[in-house]
Amino acid sequence: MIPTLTPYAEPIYFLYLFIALAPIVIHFVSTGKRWKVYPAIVTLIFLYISFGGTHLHQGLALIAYVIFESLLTWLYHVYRVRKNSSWIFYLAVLMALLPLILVKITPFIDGQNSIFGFLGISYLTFKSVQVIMETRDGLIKEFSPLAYIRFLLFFPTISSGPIDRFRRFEKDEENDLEPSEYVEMLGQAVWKIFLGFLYKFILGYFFGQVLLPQIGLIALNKGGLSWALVGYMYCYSMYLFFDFAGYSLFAVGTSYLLGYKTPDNFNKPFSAPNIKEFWNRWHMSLSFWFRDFIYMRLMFMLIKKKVFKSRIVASNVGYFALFIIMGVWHGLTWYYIVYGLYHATLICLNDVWLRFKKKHRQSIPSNWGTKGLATFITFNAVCFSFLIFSGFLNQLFF
Amino acid sequence: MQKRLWQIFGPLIIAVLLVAIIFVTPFQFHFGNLDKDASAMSSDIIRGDAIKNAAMKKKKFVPFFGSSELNRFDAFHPSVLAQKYDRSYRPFLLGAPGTQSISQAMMVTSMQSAIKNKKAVFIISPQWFVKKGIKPDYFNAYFSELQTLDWVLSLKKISKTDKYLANRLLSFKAVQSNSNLVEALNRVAHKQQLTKKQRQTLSFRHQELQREDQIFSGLGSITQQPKIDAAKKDLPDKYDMYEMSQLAEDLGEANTNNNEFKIDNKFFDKKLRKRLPKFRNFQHGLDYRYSPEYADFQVVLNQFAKEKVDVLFIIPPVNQRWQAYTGLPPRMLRDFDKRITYQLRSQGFNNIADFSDQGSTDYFMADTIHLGWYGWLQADQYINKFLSSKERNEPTYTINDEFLTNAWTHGTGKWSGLPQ
Amino acid sequence: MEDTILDILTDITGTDEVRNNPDINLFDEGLLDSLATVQLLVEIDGQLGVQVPVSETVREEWDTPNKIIQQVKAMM
Repeated sequence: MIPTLTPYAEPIYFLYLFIALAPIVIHFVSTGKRWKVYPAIVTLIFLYISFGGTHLHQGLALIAYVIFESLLTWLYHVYRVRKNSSWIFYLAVLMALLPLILVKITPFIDGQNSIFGFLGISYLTFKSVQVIMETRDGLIKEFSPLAYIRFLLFFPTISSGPIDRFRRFEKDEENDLEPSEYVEMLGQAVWKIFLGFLYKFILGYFFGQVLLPQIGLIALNKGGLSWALVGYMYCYSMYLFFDFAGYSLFAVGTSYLLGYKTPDNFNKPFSAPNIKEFWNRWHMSLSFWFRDFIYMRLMFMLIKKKVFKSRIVASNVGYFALFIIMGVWHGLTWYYIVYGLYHATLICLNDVWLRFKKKHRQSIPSNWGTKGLATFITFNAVCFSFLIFSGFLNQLFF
Repeated sequence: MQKRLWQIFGPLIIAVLLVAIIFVTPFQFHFGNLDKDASAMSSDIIRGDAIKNAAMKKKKFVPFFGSSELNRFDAFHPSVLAQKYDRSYRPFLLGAPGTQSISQAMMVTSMQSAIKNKKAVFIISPQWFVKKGIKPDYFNAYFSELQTLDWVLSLKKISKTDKYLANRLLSFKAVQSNSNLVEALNRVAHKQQLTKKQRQTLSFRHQELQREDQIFSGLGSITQQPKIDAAKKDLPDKYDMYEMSQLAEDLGEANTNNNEFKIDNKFFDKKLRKRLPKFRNFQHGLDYRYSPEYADFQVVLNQFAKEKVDVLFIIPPVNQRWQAYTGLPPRMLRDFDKRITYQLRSQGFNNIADFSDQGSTDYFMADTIHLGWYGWLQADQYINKFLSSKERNEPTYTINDEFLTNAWTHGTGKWSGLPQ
Repeated sequence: MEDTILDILTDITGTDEVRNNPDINLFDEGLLDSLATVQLLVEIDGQLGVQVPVSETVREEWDTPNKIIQQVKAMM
C-alpha cells in the first residue's frame, strides 16, 4: 500500500525520495545523460503519494487544473501566432487566474473549501500566468504541451515553490550535463537538503513547536501589549524563516538531484540593509515573479501612457498594487492585507530615504556602524510585519 | 571524481552510522546533574524516564509529587529546608502547573522498580477534583508517549486498574491522534494482550523515544537552585521551632501587606488586583466532591501499593479569606476532605498531613491555594519526621478497585451520601 | 544608436559613469533598479522604436551598458 504523505513533512518521505532518485543519481554520475521515462514515472509516484489516497479529491482537482491550464495556454498560443490583441491577452490571464480566484473566494461564499482546491494551486498559477505573459511577449515561440505539463507538475516544487521560469526550466531539460558538473550539483544538493533538516526539523521545530506556543500562551494571558508579545514577534519570525527556508532547501536540493537548477528562495534575508534589499533576499522566487510580471509591467504601462505626471507617484502606486495583490494572494483576511499595505508603505518610505540620501551623499556618513543600524532597523521592521502576518494579533485583540 | 563523491557522501554515511549506533545499542545513560534537576520540574523531566528514574535509584532522592505549589520557593519550601539543614534526604520535585493525578499516575508507573520500597511525598490539590476532571489542555501538555509505552509494554497480567487507565487515556485527543497507541490501548481496554507485531512496532518506537529522552531531556531543564540558594539565606543556622515560627510569621507579614487577603503581594498585583471585582463569588458553583479525578487518583494509589511505596500525603487548605470572597462553599470543601481521606484510609494509606482546616491560619498559604511560609513549616513537621527517620514501615495496603467505578466518582449507588 | 542609449542611461542614472565605464554593473552599483529599468524600456521604445518586452530584462543579461546595447541591437 502506498501511504499518503505531504511533501518533505516526515522522515519517511525522504527515505522514499532517496530510494526513488538513486537510479537517476547513479545514471547522471556515470553518464551525465538525462533520462526521460524514469523521471516521469517517479513524478507520477510522488504525485500519487501527495495527492492520492486520502487526498484523492485534491488529486482530481489537480488533474482538472492541469488539463484546463494546458488547453488555455495552447489556445492562446495558437491565437498569438496570428494576432496580438490586448483584450484577448487580458482575458487569457484572467482565465488562467480563475481557478485560484474561485478557490480563494469559495470559503467566503458557502463556508466550505472549494472542490477545485489542492495543495500548491497558487504556485502552479504563478507558473501558468507566467507562460501566457511570455507567450504574449513573443519570448515563448514554441508550445509543447508535454514540456508545459512537465514544468507545471515538477514534483519537487509543486506544493510551495520555489517558482521556476519556463524558459529556464526548458533549457535545463534540453541539455545533458558533464558528469563532473553533475557531481558538483550533487554535492550542493546534499548540502542543501541537510541544511534544510537543520532549518526545518531542528530550528524551525524549536521556534515553532516548542517556544512559540509557550510564548503565545503567556502573551494571551497578559493580553494587549506586553513583552511576551515582542518575544512572540521574534520567535514567529525565526520560525517562519527556518520553516520556509528549510522547505525551500529541500525543494531546490531535490531538483538538483534530478538535474534541474531550480532557483534559490532565500539569501540571508535578515542581513538586508533596507526593505528593498530584503525583498531581493526573502522568498526570492515570489518577489521576483511579482517584480517581473506585475510591478514592471504595470509601471511600463503607467509611464508609457503618462498616467501620472510624477514617476515617483507612479512608482508608489505600483508598489501598493504589488503588495496589496501579494496580501490578497496569501488569503482574504485583514491581517494579510494590512501586511501588504505595511510593506508597500515601508518600501515607499525607503524610496524617499534613498532619494534624500542620493541628494545629500556627502553629508551622510556611511560606515559599518550606519550599515549595522540600517540592518537592525530593517530586521525589526520586517519582524513586525511578520507579527501582523502571523494572525496572532487577530487572536489577541478580537 | 571518486574523491569528490567521498567528500559528499562520506560525512553522510558516518552520520547515518552514528545515529544507528546510538539508537540500536542497549546501554542506558542520561545527561544532566541530578542535584540540579531535582528542582527543575521541566516538562521533559516530568514526561521522561532517564532523569527521574536515575534519581529514584539514588537513596537520597525522595520524589515529591504535586503541582504548582512545588515551584514556590520561599525559605520553608521542603527543598530549601533539606539543603539548609543538610538532612539525609533531598526532595526530587515532580510536578508543575497542570500536573494532576493522571500525569502523576503515568510518572509513578513509568518508574517501575526504581521506586520500589522507597518513601514518597504526595501533595493533593483539592482544585484537581473539579467536575470534569483534568482539562484536556493540561493532560496534553504532560502526556508522555514514552511513559505510556513503558506501561503498556510491561503489562503481563491486565488488571482492572490497567483496563481503567487504558480507557481513560483513550478519551484524550493527544492519545487519539496516535493510531498505533490507540490500537494497543484498545486491546488493553478489552483485557487482551498485545499481538506480536504490535509488540514489535511499539518496542521499536519505545527504543526511539527512550534514546530521545536520554539525549535531550537533560538539555532543556533549568534548575531552580539559585532560588533555593537565595531562600536559604533567610533561615537561621539552627533549626529552632520557636524561632522558625516567628520567622515564618515575619516573612509572611512582610510579603502580604498590600491586600486584605494576606496573599503574596506580587501574586496579588500580577494576577488579581486588576480583576478583583470579577472574582467576587466566582467560585460559588465549584464542586470538588464528585470528579473523575478520584478514579485517576486511585491509579496512583494502586501503583504505590504495587511497588510498596511508603507515602506521606499532604492535603493543603484554601486561603480562607479568598475562599469567602470568591464564594467557595466551606461545606463542600469539608466533604471533599472526608471523601479523599476515606479513599486513602480505607485502603491503608494512613500517613496523612491533613491541613484542610488551616485555611484561616495566618501565612499558612502563600496566596490563594498554594502552601506558603507557615504552611510549609507545618508540613515540614511531618516531612522531616517521616523522611529523616531510618525506620521504614512496611506498608500494608489493601487496594479496593471500587474506587475506579463511576459509583464512587459520581457518588451514586453504594456511595451516595458521604462515607462514614 | 549606441549614443542614444548611453544618453538615456546617463539621464536615468544621473551620472556619466555609464559612458566612462560601459562595463559597470548597473544593479550592483545601485544605478538601476526595476523602476529605472522600466523607464529605460519606455525611452528605448519612444526614441528608437524598439519594443523590448519586459520579460526580457533578465538581470544577468541586462546589467551593464554594453550588454544593454547588445541586447537592443539584437532586437532591432
